[in-house]
Amino acid sequence: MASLALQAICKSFGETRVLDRLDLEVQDGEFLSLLGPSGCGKSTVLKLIAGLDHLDAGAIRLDGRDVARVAAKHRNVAMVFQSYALYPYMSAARNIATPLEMRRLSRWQRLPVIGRWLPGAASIHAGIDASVRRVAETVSLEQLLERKPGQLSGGQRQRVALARAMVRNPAIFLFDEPLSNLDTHLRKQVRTEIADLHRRLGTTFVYVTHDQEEAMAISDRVAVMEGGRILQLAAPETLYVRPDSVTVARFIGDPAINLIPAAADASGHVVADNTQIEFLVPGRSARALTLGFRPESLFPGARAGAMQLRMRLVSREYQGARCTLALETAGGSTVHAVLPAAESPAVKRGGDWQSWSIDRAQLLVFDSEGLRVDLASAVAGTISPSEEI
Amino acid sequence: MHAMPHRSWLGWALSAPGIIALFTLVVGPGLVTALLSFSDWQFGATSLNWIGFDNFVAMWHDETFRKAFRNTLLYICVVVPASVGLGLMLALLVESDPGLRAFYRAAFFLPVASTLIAMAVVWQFMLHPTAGLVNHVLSWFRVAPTDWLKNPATALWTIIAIGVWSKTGLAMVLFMAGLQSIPRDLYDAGQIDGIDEAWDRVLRITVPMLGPTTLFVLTISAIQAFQVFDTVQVLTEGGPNKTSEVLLHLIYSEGFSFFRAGYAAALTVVYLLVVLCLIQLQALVVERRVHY
Repeated sequence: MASLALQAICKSFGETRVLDRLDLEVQDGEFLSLLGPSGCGKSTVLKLIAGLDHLDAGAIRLDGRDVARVAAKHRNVAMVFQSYALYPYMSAARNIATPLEMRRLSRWQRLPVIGRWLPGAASIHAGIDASVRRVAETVSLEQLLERKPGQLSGGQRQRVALARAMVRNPAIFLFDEPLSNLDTHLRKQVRTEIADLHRRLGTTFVYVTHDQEEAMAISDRVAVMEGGRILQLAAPETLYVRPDSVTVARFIGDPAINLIPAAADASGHVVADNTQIEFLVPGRSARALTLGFRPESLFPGARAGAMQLRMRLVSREYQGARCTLALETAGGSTVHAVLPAAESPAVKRGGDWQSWSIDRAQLLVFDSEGLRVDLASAVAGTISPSEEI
Repeated sequence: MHAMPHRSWLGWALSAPGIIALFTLVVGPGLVTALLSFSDWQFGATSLNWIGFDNFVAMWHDETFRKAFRNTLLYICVVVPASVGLGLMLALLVESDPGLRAFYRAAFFLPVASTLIAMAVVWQFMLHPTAGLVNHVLSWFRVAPTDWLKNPATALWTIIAIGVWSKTGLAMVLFMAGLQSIPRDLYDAGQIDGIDEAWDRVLRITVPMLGPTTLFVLTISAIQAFQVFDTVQVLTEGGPNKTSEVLLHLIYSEGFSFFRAGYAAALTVVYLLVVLCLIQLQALVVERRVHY
């Protein structure tokens, strides 16, 4: 177990600056995800922590000790790769044993054939075998230890990779998109297994993924990254309800957040689709704004105390428990609503315009730079969203 | 979709060119050679006698054949491991410096891409006993000059050295392709697992990952080495005193210099049987070991 701190780390590949003075603190025992589109630098961060790549500047502290110049194998960090990176010519057992063989056996004891007969080798091998069996049990691999990776399914290979990481009790586990080579069904199962593993081991996990659902489901905190910077680092609930910027809001949630153009009028009220919303924006200038709300905060009909917009139902996707509806606003934007299947209206040919209500507490307003604006309610007695959270 | 009527003639018609070519170029000549090996036919003669296994019996007692067989085996046993080993080493070295990779690849592949006959002529100049570069350079190290191609002690070894030189490039290029197909992740995983010294990396990751490539290179090299002919023909013609005679060159001289076509055919049959054995051996090893 260990805490991890990245301090102003910089990394460039040739002319391209991938990471620019990035700071990140991971608490002891925390499950932290790095979430972002491909090319945002999240895998580079992981490789730097692992010691597979050199920092240009900055420090990486493991329990306070700067390890930026320490070789990968001395950092006490284990990694699970997207491709699993198992040695295809070794059995599962030997794959799992490799990190121990490289650490516990001397150079001579590692020699093929002869090494086994050198003094001391036999007892070390016995110890390694015991460790391998113990770890294999925790990931239910006992029956498959003699198989080569080529004879294992994707999920089983994943478990071998996990076992290889676990076998030497590392201080930190690093995961580089470990589920992206699995099919959807298996992905959810293995995701739960990884979360369980984290609970059982209590070790620090750093997990890289581009799948927001995955990150939200299993992490204590998520760092949303773009262009080599961390946009927001917060608990999944905070990211969903109070995203700092339009980029984060867009990245989190499925179906995606609804965004419609808005503006602030002379009195400072937010105006969207020719509807004045009872919110005031600090600063009185008429600025271009973006109004955001989650699909599940949109309801058919007029509700008391809710913001109302005229919309037309365009299509309806049935998903069993719920339906996803696509609606057109008077301003021409398309928005989505998620409703329980029983409550969702049917699509009518031609579609008539109706009132839809948006839960006021769920409204988000972003300024022209895409940053969230704290709102003040213009109506006495209404709770402003910034106070509520 | 309409079900097509079963028209077997169409299938035959479409494969006919291939079948005809296969029979006229491979199966036919092969059968004729096998038949001729049981005759005493002389090249150009209008009649022949069937003599059963006499050619093969004669071969068994023929000192030249034995020499040629031994020399060919020695040639294979030295050229294959040496060129494959050197090729692997060069591939590792060249791959580690991406800057000059293209230059080295071209330089080492040149002997493979060019005609060996032409190259053999160049070697002939270099090996010239008095004017050649080889003796000249060796004289700096106080090595006594010798006529490398006419000296019975060195003729075969010179042919072998040229063989290694000409085959190394092919092995290197194949190994380079094999090296590039090793996923980078595996070295990263190795580094975390503690496989981070060059020697460990090569032994624990590179060499095992090159298993299939190595087998392919070994087979190709062995079959190519078995076909050694051009250097012998140009440089020594099997001499002096048959010390550098090899199988294929012996077949050529028996058939086209001495016109003993029947005997040459019998030699060819033995030659083909050995090649078949090599291929079978490879198939066997492939199934046993290299698949993972």
